[in-house]
Amino acid sequence: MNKLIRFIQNYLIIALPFVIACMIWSTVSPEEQFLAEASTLTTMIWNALSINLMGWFAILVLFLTLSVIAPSIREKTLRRLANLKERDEREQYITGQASRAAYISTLSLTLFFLFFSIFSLKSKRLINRIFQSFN
Amino acid sequence: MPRIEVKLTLNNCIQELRITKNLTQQDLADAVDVTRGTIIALEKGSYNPSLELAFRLAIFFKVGVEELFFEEGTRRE
Repeated sequence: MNKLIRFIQNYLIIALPFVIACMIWSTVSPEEQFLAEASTLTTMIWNALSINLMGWFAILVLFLTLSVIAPSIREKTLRRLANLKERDEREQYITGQASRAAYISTLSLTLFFLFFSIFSLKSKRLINRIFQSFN
Repeated sequence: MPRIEVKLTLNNCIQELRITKNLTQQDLADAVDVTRGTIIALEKGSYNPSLELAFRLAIFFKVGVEELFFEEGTRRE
């Protein structure tokens, strides 16, 4: 299981540049346009990138689902992603304190934005009025 | 229930015992399976260890926990 998880993680990271390349390519030149006049090699590369994109997304969905279901996988992955390296109890305590501070500050920001989301300011009239006062 | 409000200032003699045993901070850290930073914090008194670590240290120095950690002014010799 661990080997499989490690393989999935490595695949998601290594294949990411190809996924981005495929996305950029499809944005820059839409498929219908260039496939008609493309060479065999270009078509093959395009197909390979497209298959990789499909596989990458399928594995991403699988991986995200696994990380929600299995706490051990979530722990390992997010620890690696957040670069958490606790070597003993004091470092765990420090991380805990930092997490608490981050959580509370994020919560206060969320409440702040939630409160201000009930207001809406229409600037069109205001701008018109300012222009009228100049004229 | 009445609340008991006692402000404790904990001290320890880890540094003295370590020097007596002629150990470096890293040696002690390796022996009780923590980082050197934790030993430094303990010796400075800026960090209070968990009960488990306190016992590990006491067992390592072959002393009682209450001899290793004590309230200011109540040290047992």
